[in-house]
Amino acid sequence: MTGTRQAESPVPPPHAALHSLILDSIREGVFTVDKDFRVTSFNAEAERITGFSRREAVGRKCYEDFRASICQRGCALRETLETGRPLRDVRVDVLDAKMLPVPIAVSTAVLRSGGRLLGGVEIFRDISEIESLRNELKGQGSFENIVGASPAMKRLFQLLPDVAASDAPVLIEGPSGTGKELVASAIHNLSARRDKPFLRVNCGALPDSLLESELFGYLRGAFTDARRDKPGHFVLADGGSILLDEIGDITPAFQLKLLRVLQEGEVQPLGGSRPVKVDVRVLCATNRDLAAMVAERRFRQDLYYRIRVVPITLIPLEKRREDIPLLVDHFVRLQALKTGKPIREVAPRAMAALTAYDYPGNVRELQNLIERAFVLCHGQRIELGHLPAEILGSKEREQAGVELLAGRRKPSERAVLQAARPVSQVRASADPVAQKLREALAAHGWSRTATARSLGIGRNTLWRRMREHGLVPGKPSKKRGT
Amino acid sequence: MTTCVAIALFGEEVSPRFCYAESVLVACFVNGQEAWRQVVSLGDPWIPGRLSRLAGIGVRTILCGAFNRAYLPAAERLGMAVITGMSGNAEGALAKFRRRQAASSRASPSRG
Repeated sequence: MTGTRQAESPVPPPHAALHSLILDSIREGVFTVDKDFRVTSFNAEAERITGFSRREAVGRKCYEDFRASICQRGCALRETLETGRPLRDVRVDVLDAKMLPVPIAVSTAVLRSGGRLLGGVEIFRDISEIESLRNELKGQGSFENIVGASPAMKRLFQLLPDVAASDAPVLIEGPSGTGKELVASAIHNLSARRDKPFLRVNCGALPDSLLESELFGYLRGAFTDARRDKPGHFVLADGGSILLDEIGDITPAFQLKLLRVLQEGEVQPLGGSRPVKVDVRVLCATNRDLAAMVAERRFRQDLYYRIRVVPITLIPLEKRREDIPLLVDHFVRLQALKTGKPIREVAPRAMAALTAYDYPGNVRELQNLIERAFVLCHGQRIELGHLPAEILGSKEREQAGVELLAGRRKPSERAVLQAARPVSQVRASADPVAQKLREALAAHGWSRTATARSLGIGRNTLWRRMREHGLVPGKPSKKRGT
Repeated sequence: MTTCVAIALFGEEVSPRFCYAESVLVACFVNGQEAWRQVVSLGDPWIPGRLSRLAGIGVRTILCGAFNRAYLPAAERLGMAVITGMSGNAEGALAKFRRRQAASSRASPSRG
């Protein structure tokens, strides 16, 4: 201890040093930039969150240090500098020093001196604790990226850890767009195989010969173009899991080959003479009624029982309507992160319309609707006008959605919604062929090529059937009596 | 020997985050000489999809500002190395990478 008078009453630090001291003592990350987005100051919390020291950061472009999800698409600071308007609490994520995403809330403002633009300031805070608490409070509103709080989804969430703990084959059945792949992925992620590969093969998209080489691989010289050995997905997924999607679409000949692999636990690459032992958990998914196919002898009974040790059935979205607001919220957050747009909510009337709609394309269709709304929305809230005409029904229908959201109507009370449904939808639903076509079209984003392929018919046939059943926009139905 | 490198782009600069880069500059070198280069548009920010696409065109190294660590095993499974911490002009970053590679190959010459 020196005991000098100077130590007892220190000289106050100069202004710049004082500012720096204050900035370093607050719990928010703060950095300032000049008009060219070069960092001019960087406080201690900004150093902690980004992992860059002040020395490294100052003088560089802010996006080199900040690495936020909005830096390249919809930078908040750029918007503020261009419009002069400050932004508050834009939810984004940054990569920290360990290259892991950290959720943060960003606010921006313009820096001026005597009316002259100096640059901007960005203030941000780590909201990872708030986010995790919010997720807990939501009461199991989501599980392994699967969103839902309906009784059916809660049952699924309870079941998944037990299913994951075993190595038994799982058959996931459900209409297109209900999230069969997400469930398969959750089973893998919750299992002891989580650090090993999880591969997905769409069995319906490939002819037998290609499917065989994809799944089992081939050796050099097995066929004309086989210039080198290629391991199949079963070998690549060794130790992990494989999802055989659209399993109901494989031919009887391939069903037999697959049965042998499942029974023996080994694959034989094309052109090879020795089988290769593999340890892969097999998960299958289909939107077909495999039991009916077995009864019609279109699917092997022995294979059916082999893959259906644990059956999981996913229900259509219209039968768990109470999950729609949760899903909308989830997709809005996801899309905001992807696009960097500051959209945070959905207007009540738009939410009512979204809740009342039937979703023949299920969750995937809902996700597409939100993506579409993001393209059209330039504000902070998705409005009714950002939704396509097909989901906007009559006033009564929308009112039914409002009441459903307010809890004044039971989710199962579909009759009211049905009664208020637009005429075109009633016609389509009354006609089972039209309904099937509509579902298939919606599941493939109304792409006729993809839909025709999924239904196993030609594009022209599909077009003709669409015309017959009044599914061509602006064309009246040719079929009489519908 | 052929080496293909992809540099995540943000305009003419290295992208600060691989998943948000709209395109990559793919440059391929045969025996140390540049054989071809092309700007490839990436579209969807879904990282596994991007990795599969780049692996499919023969990319073995990705250069970028930052890369979500959770997806590093996926890149490794596809035989790709990810070099982060790159910044500034993309051409400069490519030249820096090549200088580093040349230095390391001089330091550990391959046998026969």
